[in-house]
Amino acid sequence: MWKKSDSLDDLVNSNSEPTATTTSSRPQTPTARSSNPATIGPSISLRGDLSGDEDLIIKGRVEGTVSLKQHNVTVGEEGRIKADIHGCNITIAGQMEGDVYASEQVVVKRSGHVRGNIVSPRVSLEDGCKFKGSVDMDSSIGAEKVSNLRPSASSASDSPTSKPAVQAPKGSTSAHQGKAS
Amino acid sequence: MQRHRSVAEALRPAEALAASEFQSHGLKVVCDRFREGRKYDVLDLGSPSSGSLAYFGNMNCRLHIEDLFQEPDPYAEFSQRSPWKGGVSDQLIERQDNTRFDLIIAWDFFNYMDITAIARLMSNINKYCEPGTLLFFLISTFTHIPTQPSKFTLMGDSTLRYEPSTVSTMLGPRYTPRELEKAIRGFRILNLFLLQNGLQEYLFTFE
Repeated sequence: MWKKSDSLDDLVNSNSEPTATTTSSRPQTPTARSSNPATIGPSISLRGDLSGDEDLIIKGRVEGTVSLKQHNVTVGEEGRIKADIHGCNITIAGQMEGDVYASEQVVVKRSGHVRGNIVSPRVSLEDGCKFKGSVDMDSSIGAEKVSNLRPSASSASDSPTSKPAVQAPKGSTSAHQGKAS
Repeated sequence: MQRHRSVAEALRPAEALAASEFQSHGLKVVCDRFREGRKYDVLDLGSPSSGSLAYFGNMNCRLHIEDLFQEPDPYAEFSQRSPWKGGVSDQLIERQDNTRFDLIIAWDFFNYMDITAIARLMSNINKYCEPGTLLFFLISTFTHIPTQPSKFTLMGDSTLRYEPSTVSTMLGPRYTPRELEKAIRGFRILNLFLLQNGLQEYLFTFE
């Protein structure tokens, strides 16, 4: 029976799956599952490096890099990305050109269109999705490793897309507008 | 290429359209080879498939997906001969790295390419091969084949599910081993298996 003295956390932990224990052994990521992820709306176009400390949904256009290593990134159906993405769980339902590094999982939805490489311990490509590139399911990839994976070091040069490195234009004020941290 | 076909042979399109599951002897050979514990590079010329991803992921492979099949020619059904010319692209994404593939999977794409397109595609791929690279593909022995490449799903344990993606048929090229070996330069036939469903499994190796 729940008592007033019981904290909400205790109650949640008592009902949770054993995976909760696994989570606790990880580096502290208090906002890894934030309930209200930040959203880049469909009319927003962003060029440059984007980093932050909360989950993100991209419905607009992003060109550059997206680095939310401890957090979840979702590219909505309207999203158009030309960037490498680093994250925890990454879901792609829109169009994306670039490499994807996830410490937990990458899901490419049926509506997703990806041209680039994926590195993650778990990858799901839904039937009907469009994908050109490589999938490397390296189980040793963890959050700390994903943060060290840089396209120039491991994969951008390997990239089948042979895409040019995307750089924020000099003096561009939008280059850091998306920086949430 | 003109071939003589009997009336009986020409009346067998239905068999080519039956979905089936079968043990792939070619993939079993691949499985036996991929036991060294190193990372293997597999080039899948087909579209992304969760079955292939799981199968090769379990074998510590890096899967490169090319998705060479392109949208159908809207007039395909009106053409009797090679309406799919160009339906399967012979152009690979250029790679600027030193990737060398251990296995190339072409599924049944060669049924939909003329022999010069096969030769062109394979000459593009050759530079990413090294001695021992395997090439796996299927050729239909039926006179008629579906008008689009079929769907092959890896079910695990080298079981393949074959599912035609259309009910309309066209004449198939029925390439002979000799024709294929001539077109696929640098490779030679390692194994050739005739399956009960009328498909021939080829396993070539790069020399």
